[in-house]
Amino acid sequence: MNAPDRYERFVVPEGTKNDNHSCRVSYERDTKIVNAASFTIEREDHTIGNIVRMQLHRDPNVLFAGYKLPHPLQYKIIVRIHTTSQSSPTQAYTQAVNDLDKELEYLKQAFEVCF
Amino acid sequence: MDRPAAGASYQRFPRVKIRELKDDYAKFELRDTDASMANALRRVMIAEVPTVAIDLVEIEVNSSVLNDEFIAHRLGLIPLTSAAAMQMRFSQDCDACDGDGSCEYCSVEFNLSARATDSDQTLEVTSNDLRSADPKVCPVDQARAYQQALSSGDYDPNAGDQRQVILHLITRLWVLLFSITIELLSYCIFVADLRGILIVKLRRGQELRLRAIARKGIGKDHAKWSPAATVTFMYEPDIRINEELMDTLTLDEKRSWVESSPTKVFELDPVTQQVVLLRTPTCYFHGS
Repeated sequence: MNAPDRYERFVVPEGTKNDNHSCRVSYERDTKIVNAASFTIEREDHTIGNIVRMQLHRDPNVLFAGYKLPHPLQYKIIVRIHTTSQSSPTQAYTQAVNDLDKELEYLKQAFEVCF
Repeated sequence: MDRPAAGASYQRFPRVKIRELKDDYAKFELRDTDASMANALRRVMIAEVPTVAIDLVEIEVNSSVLNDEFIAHRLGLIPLTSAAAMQMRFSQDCDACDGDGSCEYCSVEFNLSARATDSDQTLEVTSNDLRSADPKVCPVDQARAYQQALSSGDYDPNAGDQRQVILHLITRLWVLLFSITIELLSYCIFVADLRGILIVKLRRGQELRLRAIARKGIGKDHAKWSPAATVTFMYEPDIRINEELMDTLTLDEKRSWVESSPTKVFELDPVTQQVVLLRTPTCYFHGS
């Protein structure tokens, strides 16, 4: 009765703005702790969350990195990052995502050579 | 791993090595990366690789013992060859049609027409009775049957090459080196006599006539679109023999120790009379 439609697991809803990136990733600074922020990624789950979290752990400037799904029927993840003063959560997050992009590209080429 | 300077990249460079590769089974090793990467691969293979499956069914006549939605559900679960899935569009994204499924870019039409004759024999309606509008997309066992009987084809020989991907990842955690072995388990599709997947059985006088439309989708939406039967990964086991303790055993005791393992893991080297590992550890768990 309360369950959302299945396609909502991967179809991003229409944003308030007209471009596609309007609400896919949003950012919220933590007011009480310096250099801490949460990123909310819509329509993603553990597949992305765990990978981003593990990549953030490899960065020595990141003091805390974690992700959660607030509810299994709400299709989004919240990634929380605390960094040292040498870096910022945005920088750590962008760095992690770019590194993962390159790593997956490398993996894709490794597969293509093999198969 | 070594840490580059701050601001530099922490990228890893994974390596892949294939152990086995068949039409519906593959096994490979993945090294120099994380279990989270292996798990993400596994999750994507199950839920996010697009395939083609029957999604809309218009039933004209159904006098069989199963009701309409039952038959529609069974039709959806029939695996179709999906090599063409990458060229197709999702029907919600398709702007060439209005979503009713008659568009060539996002859907494939199937027809089924079966009527039990006036004999007393039960007519089995199977996936072989599904007639596809596009020969590249057809039930997998139909494609296999044609491939087996193929000498010269009306059908494109590539139509049967469905990547029903079943992965079994085997991950080995070393201190410095991450290696992940990925294995695809075999997947039995049909009965040996190639009759096709049974949809419904009809008795004398019963008829089934329908038109079905297959669309592209992903496993997240419905399990019928999942291409994988099983995907698993495990760490490659690291077996080390305690040589000090092994030296305290007599030769007979060593022999009985080697023989006590259910799969042949160790062997007794006759020359040096030492117990050694027989072969790479990942073969032990699947009888492959």
